[in-house]
Amino acid sequence: MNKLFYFILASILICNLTVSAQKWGYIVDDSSSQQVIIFDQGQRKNSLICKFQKNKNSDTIEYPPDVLDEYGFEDGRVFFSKDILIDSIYKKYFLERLAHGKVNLYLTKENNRNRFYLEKDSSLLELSKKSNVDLNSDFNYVLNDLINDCEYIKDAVRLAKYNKRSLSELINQYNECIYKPFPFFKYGINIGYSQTGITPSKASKDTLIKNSSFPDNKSSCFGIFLDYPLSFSNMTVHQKIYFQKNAFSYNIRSENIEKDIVINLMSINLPVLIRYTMPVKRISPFIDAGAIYTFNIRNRNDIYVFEETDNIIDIKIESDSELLTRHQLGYSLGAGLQIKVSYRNSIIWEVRYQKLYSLSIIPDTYNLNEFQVIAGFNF
Amino acid sequence: MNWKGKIIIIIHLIILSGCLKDAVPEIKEYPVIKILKPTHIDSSGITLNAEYINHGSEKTIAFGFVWDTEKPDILNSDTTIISYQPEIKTYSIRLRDGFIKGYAYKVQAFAYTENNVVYSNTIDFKSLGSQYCPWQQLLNYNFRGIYYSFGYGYGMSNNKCGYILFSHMGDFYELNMIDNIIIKKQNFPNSNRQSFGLVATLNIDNNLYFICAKSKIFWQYSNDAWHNLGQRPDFNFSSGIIGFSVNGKGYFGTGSELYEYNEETGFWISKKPIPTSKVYSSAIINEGVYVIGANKEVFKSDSILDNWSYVSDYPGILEGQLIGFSLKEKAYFGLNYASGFVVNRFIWEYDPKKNSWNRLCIFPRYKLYQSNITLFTIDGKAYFGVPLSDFGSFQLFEFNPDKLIQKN
Repeated sequence: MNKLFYFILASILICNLTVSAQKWGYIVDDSSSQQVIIFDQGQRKNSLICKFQKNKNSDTIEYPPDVLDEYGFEDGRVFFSKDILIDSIYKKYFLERLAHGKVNLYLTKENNRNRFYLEKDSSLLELSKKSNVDLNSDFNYVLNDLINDCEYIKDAVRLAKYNKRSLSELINQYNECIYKPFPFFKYGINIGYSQTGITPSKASKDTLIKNSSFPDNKSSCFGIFLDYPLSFSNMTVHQKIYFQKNAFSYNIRSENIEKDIVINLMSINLPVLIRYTMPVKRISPFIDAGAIYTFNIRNRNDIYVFEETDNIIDIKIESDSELLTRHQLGYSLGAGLQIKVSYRNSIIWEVRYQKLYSLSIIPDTYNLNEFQVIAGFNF
Repeated sequence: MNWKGKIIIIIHLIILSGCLKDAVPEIKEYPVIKILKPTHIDSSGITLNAEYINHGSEKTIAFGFVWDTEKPDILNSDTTIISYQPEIKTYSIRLRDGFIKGYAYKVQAFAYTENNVVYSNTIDFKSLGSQYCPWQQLLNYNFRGIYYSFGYGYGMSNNKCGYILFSHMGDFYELNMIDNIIIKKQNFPNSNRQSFGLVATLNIDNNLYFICAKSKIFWQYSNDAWHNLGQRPDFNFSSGIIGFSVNGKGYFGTGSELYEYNEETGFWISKKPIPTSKVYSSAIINEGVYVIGANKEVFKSDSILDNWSYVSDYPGILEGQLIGFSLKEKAYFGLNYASGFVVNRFIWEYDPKKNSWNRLCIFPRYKLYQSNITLFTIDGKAYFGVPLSDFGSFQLFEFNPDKLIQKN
């Protein structure tokens, strides 16, 4: 509880510091432009007023959008004074320019709600959020109508979301009009073939375990995946969760004793990967790497010992040995192709190598090596 | 694709994945069987479960379970056979007889094949009792000062109480099983720190009579006192010895010889010989006398004891001596010496009306010498005493035939 309290307190303090941070910038009025120290008051207040000092020792000045034409921070954010229609009244606001070019994109925050404006040929049009009631006000519909002269962004227009990052990326792509995959959140299913090998841990001391050599197990795996864009780059965080069943058996015989090690696993695997996808229009190669966590929901490790004396066979089953731990950690490396079948859907083929280590202080355990061929489809 | 379609795909994949076969041990000529955890352990019995992991290349002839208080084996422990069917993978059986409450048992599944006997892994469990169990463990007793290594306790009873006579020092105790009272009585007078080799006792009208191998004195215990009744006849103890009473007269037999003792006159009379070269045990049912003789032959005579006839063969192992007693119109024989002087723990019930034998669940204590078992019967129950240690700690079991499962 104390930790939570301090965390909230620290967050509030940081927010306040951020809100009232002073940054170097500039202001532009009808006649001149000058360098000043501007107070960053947050998106909403920045839209209403420009608060600045001419230098550190001077008084604070507040200019409304009627007085200034433009101001900007040294980090690149620029605010322009624009007349916009809110509640049937035209009023001047400082709009933050998110994209600049053939078409400009602006943002303001009013009533705790982001409002986006598109400026084309000097006319400013508000982009309303998607509405199920009136299709004409759908922002994707409007965008498709307004920026249909660049063929490379047709898919991007359909994928764009009503948020600052997505719309900025879209308008920037339109202004550049070159092909670039439009990053969006993807999810889908995977199904694959897996060839899994099991090897004793290097620290293993038990002779039976150390000298055991299991044949590889061939099995299928299936699951779902999520793919989050990373800062609108070609990198994504690719997360899978898949289910797999493995079965291993090893037999050794010496004199009157025969031993079988039998391992049956049913596991949920959770790789978290960083994926780079090449920006190619239809078939995009990718590579990825990351960590994998495995939870063996079923982890049966049995050592059968058959002792034969005068045709009497006595079976002993050691079921309590944890040859593989319930939790495993490892790494995963993969490469593949993403084949686009529609603006949103793709078929994904990938090959993957994974190594999974048992998490145990006991040296006599096994690790897993997996080679997978996976097909996926994102919805 | 809508959500319904996506969920259907995922369910199909789960089913597909679940169909993959488990790994099992390599197939061998014999079956690989695994006993599973017993279920439904309650006061009425237990359910035993087993699984065939591999059936093996050899044909299974018989399949079942075997259990005991120590590591079981099919020759010397309790077993049950289940109908084996190659297509069946898991087997279960509810057992309602033979498990003593509070006892820890070890149980295994077993399979007979053409060339092998296979025992599964072992499972331990603690019994909460069973519906049909003739055995009940009573309280443990401590006979202070008794050292078993120098002798053994010999059990006998009159119509009221049980008695135990310890051969070393001749300590003599009376056991009142109704009130659970043990009273130390006057020591046997002929002990003198030497084993007197007590071999047979009998009860006539609540008076106890004793035959010793190392002394020719015939002793009587009555009215809380020992009485010297003079010399007994010569017996050839190597041909076995039995003692019983019928119609108010006592009888001692050895080999084919049988002697009648008349309590009123104090005379010994030689009776018509038993048609055998050695006697192992005897029991009285409705004044009919049953004697197990050589070659497992069972002979019967009426109470006059003038006419012996062969009635049956004893189905158990016959080595050394057998215990024998009768309760409620049935005779019980068993607990004989086996190899290495370890007691064979099976007891056989003989029904004279049907002239049939029925093997009962085994005596619960494991690996005892027969000389250490003390047996007496009172009120339709038999009591078996066995030492827990060499220093006087003594365990008593009750055998109640009313709690036997009626198989016929």
